[in-house]
Amino acid sequence: MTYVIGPACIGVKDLTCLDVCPVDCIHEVDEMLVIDPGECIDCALCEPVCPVDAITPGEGVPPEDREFIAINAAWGDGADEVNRLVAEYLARA
Amino acid sequence: MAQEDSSGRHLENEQYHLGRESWFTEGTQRPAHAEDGGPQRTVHEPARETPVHEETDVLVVGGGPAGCAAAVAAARLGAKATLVERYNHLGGLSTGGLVIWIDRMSDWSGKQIITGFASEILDRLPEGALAGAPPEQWGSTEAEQVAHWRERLSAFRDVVTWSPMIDPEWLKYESVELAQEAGVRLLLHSWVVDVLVDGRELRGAIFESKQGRRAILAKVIVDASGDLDVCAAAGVPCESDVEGKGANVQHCVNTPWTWGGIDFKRWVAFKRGDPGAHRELMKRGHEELGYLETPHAGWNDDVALFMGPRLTGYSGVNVDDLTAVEIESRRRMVAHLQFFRAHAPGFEHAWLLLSAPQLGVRHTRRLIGAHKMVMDEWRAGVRHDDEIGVSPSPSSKFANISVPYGCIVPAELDNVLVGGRHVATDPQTQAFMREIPQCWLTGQAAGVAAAMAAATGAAPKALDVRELQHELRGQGVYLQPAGARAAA
Repeated sequence: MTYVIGPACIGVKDLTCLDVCPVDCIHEVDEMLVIDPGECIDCALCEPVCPVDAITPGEGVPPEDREFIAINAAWGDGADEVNRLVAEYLARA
Repeated sequence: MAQEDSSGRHLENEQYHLGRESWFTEGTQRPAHAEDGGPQRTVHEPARETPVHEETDVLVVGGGPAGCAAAVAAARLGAKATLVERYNHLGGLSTGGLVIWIDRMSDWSGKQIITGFASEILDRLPEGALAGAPPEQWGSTEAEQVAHWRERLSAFRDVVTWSPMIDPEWLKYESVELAQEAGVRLLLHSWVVDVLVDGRELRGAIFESKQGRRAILAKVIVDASGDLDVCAAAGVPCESDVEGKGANVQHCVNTPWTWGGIDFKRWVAFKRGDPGAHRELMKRGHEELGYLETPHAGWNDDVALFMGPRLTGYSGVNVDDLTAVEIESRRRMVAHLQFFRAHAPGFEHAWLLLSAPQLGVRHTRRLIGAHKMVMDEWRAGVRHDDEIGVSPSPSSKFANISVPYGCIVPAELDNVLVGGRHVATDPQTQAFMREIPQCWLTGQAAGVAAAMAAATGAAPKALDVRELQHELRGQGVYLQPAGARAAA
């Protein structure tokens, strides 16, 4: 499974991960950054540069954050869909 | 009081039990790593005479993909080639490390561009030891073919690729047989621990085995250790994300595993037939184990491969870290086995086939070379005049990638070449240059260059690149036509 950006990124959007990604698979939406699983090559370069430890391998996403696997994958349906799902998450949080 | 041994020789008391003189002296120098929290105390080892095990033309250190390709390539050019490997097999991570999905030798159009040793070794695998898409499907985007091969890690971004899953035991066997046929002098169970430095050259290396510590003298050395052990031992600076200042222990490390007794067709039928139940199962596994690996089909459908568990924050050159990863990986392996046996269709009779004897290290040190491959360069489609091979790009957004000779030539050593995951790159380029086919590619080039250097006495840096390219083509390596830019 590819890498996933979790809720720790919300409101942070440090962007360092964008610089290290070899395939430009990290994208910015309103509140956070997401990784397109269709593009991610699993290289692990982004994980250690995140200042808030928001990035984990998909199989290691904490159980309570698992909806972020779908939130990242929603990039395939467009930024609006990602924003909608993040807003839903924030409304509950 | 003197004693006598069985043959009547007199022995001093203190020598009687050990058969050698006392040899323990407290060290006086603070070790280099003490600043970083390493050991504070040293012992002093006295100088000694080290037997020369053999003299050779080309010494290849490390029998992984790069080292195998290098040794065979050098021997084929008539060099006396000696390959030293610390484990009991060849193939490195592609066999002992269970990186058995050989990802990937075709470009986004389906054309195979990593050839040469890569083609030769895979062609030797018998029926049943390799599962990969047939050539007519390479580059296919047909949904059913993509779905089938994705389970077997042979489709990526909805494109079928030439990246077969192989049986590691057969690859071990064929690697050794191929090396034997090529006339490579093979030393298994031998670990290179030091080098013989003479100015900007290395006269050979020291290895240790059950016979103790011995030297091999060589005209040229190929560092295919994966961790740049030869260059690091020579004291030349290297790039590293895991040692020294600025280290961030960048890459995850893991012991992957395989299971037998699997009915993978049933598992795939379950996944595709009832996606909701599959999702629920994975969610439950995630909650129960705190972490869930996805199984992939092995070279046969009765074998499952688990590529993880990816553990981060560990260094591939720290022995305590390596030990911790082994322990944690196997604990997770057993937890996964219990969960999958109990809940996953097709896994009811799963049994532990193998936990990889070689730890999956992605990256430690990188060479400082005559040329450094960097992301901006390959994204721009730069075609190197000294091209030694062509790599598929990591995304279909980018053209095929020209691999330059300069990235395997050390900047500061005059008779050393480098092949494998530690060639001169930035981290973004290492992300794909570390893969098995790319290690074959740089290894084969290093072997050819080493044989040429050994034959002529020229420094690798001074070799005629056209002649090198001619020899590589002669060994089946694909290079782009002269003057052409990298094609998409």
